[in-house]
Amino acid sequence: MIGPNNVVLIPILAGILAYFLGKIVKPAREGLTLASALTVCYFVFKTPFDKVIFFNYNFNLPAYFEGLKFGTNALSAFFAILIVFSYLFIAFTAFALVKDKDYHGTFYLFFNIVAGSLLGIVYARDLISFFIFWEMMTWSSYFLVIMNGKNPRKTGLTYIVFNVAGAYFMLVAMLMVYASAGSFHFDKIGTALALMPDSKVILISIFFAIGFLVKMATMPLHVWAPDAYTESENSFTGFFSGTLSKMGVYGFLLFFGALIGFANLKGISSIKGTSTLGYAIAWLGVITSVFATFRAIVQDEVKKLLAYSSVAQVGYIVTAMSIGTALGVAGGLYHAVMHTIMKLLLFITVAGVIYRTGKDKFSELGALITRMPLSFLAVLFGIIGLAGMPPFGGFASKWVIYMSLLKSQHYFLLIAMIVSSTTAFLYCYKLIYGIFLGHPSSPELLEAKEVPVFLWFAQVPLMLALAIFGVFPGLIVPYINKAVASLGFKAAFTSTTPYTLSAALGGFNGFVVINVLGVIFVIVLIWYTLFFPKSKKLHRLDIYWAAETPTEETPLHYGYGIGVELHRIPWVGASLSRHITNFYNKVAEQVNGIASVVKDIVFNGDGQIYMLYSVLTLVVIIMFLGR
Amino acid sequence: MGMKILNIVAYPFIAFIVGMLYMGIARNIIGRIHRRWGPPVFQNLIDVFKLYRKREAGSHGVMFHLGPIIMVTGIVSCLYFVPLLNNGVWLKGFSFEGDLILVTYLMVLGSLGMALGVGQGGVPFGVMGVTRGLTRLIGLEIPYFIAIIVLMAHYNTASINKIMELQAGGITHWGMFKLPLAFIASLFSFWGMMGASPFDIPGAPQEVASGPATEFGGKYLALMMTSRGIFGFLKLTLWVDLFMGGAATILILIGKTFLLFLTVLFVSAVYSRFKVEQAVDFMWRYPTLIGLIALVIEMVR
Repeated sequence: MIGPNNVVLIPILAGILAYFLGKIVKPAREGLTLASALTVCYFVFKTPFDKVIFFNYNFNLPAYFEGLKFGTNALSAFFAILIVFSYLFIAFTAFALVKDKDYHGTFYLFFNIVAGSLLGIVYARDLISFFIFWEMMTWSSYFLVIMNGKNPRKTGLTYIVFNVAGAYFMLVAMLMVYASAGSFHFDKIGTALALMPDSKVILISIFFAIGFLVKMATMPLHVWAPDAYTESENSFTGFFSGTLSKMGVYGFLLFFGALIGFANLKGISSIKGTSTLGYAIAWLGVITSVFATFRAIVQDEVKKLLAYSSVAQVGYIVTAMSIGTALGVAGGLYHAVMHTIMKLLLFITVAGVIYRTGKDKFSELGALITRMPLSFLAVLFGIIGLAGMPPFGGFASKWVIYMSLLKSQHYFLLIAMIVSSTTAFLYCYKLIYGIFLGHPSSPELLEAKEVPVFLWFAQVPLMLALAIFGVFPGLIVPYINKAVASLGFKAAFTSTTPYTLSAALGGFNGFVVINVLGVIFVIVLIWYTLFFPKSKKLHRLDIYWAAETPTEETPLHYGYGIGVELHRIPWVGASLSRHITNFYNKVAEQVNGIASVVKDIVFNGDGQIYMLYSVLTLVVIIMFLGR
Repeated sequence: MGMKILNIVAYPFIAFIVGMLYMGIARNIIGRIHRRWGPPVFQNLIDVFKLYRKREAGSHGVMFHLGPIIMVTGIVSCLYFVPLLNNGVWLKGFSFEGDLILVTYLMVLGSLGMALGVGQGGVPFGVMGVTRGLTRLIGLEIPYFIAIIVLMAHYNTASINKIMELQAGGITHWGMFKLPLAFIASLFSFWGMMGASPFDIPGAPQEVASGPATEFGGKYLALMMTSRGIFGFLKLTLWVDLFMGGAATILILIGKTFLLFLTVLFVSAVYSRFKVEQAVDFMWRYPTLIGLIALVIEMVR
């Protein structure tokens, strides 16, 4: 039977098979990927959502080797659903966008492996399997980052250095856990962690947190993210920023929620009902979102704006989760779902726009609304979600996060979050204006075609999903409640109707909101269209231009201009002029300096010295073996 | 049922008439401050009706056409979630189906729809106006949110109706006297949101040719002016609900909103316009500081 134990293997095998079979029959790659995605979807949905299942693999090894363990519970299932959906949608996108590229085969190889390793992470039930799949995810996505890059060496290096460093912090923590617990299995670790001395628990927590915060691109560990998101293969970026970053969220909840327990950490030391460590991480999250939002606005590259926005949005999730209350975790989970949907939708659409126009900067785009109405609508849905506005799902998830912060009385965190949340309107507007409105920056934009049909299969369901979660904000509540319950909390939401969301201090009815909006819109539209004379259609250059007549050459697109004011706001301008990358560059310079000294002394290219090393190594080994 | 429908239908019309009259009165009072006679009180209403009667309007495309419609949709929808009266079931709209955070976000929805229309209009001045407006919003929202956080923390609810109920029983129970610092902080945001003079950055006629409204004429301008009138009254009512104990009858509502409106007028009559970065900087300094003091007092309490 195929279940959580071996569903992981399907995408991985499909990827390898696609690579080799595709050398003979090219469409086999697409076919196998689609088959694998559909199969995985089927099995994930067939597995009961909140059932706890375990599978052991002992491989007939000696007793001191525990074997690997796989299984599922509500939290795993929650993230597995996100993964399989994204897998399917990105597969559709890739069908249209990757087919002519010379890395066609490698793309499908690594893309499938990434999808498989993500499932492996959520289904792992011991630290060894978790780490194996974690590394697999990092390495296979590394190839997807560098295959299309304009500057693959720098971007790839930053990506791999940060992620591998994060993973090694985790590895150290895992070995520390093993030293105390004598086991890698999750069910045995929890009890051992509860008995450990406080200082050790804190150290292990910090090490694990570093690993997860790198994946979630939280400051100051976010440096890899904007470049990697921007330069990765266009059709993969949605998966990268939407789903891959959520593995950090899953790992965070797994470790702090299920293994060590928020209550346990709170018992060591706490600030206002949140563990001190969690409180610190919450501030990191919110600071990340503030600074990343400012930086997103001033970008000229479309994908880089989305990349920074992604960093900022995941910052909200980090903050909500670290609070460590049932409602906070629920808000984090809710926003994780919404953010995945929004970022898939936006990155897929932008990939299509870049594919059709060959341009990826706001200063080169514009006025595509008449040529690409569906994509315009997709981006409109996406930005309404990103801005957290009713009537779409983005509002519901943000509302839960606000309520969780209000209820746990973390008012200052909430205010900082509002700064970021309000500023986000600017980049949302820049995104839609820069690409679709205003004037075309070059004449060929007026001949661009709508994005390929394959992308519609991804865009339309994602738009529907955003709308449905807006109309029925309570639809997802039972699942969130179960996932939160699997972390040992009481249910986060008490109300259960699909129309309403209510928690802590208030509530709202998404169904009423959309109906009010819809009815008024229709009434005004009918009144306006039927009872008034028809408007006169104007040429795009028939505009007010201070008593002059603009020509085709007049630069009328304001795409890059949005956000220049930010530089003049005192604090914001100062923050934008500095960049944490400079700090890391300084560190890298120093390390390089030291390394070159070491190299001159130790690795000087002299054969005799190398011989000496091997002899010395042999001596050391013999000394230890002799004991 | 009939009452309910009458209730719903009456909502935007009350807001429209009162809002437009306030604008007319504003032009009068500011005229007197400037030592001239202003136009008649009904001038704004006359202007709107004149614009609705215009036979021609130029359009730049579908989104341009939809922009003002979305604006009025967002604003009227938002209005329905703000109770006008705190008395019985009259003029409550759908205020039991949403809370303060919903209203706060709905307030921006209309402007975003408008911004899309402005974008397709293709005038760089319009987009500059929108950008200025959104940048100004970064400043305005902070004291506003601090104030409503204090409010929600104090009354332990996010429901506007409940906040209003808890202020019943005399002038001393009003939010503005119970939480004076929060009220003062929110007042700065309020002046900004009403477009009063130091903060009238988006539509500065001298710099960006009236900003967002530049390219809109005829029926489009009429619809924009309508929604502006409704929006003004909506914001006044919201502040009355949150800080002045709401109103039992329409007359009391008009009295209270008018008092609040006078503060807007007096500020806007004497101050000249900030630059956008100055506005944000100002908002992040004094009102935010006042708000934070209010918040700390609330947390200590």
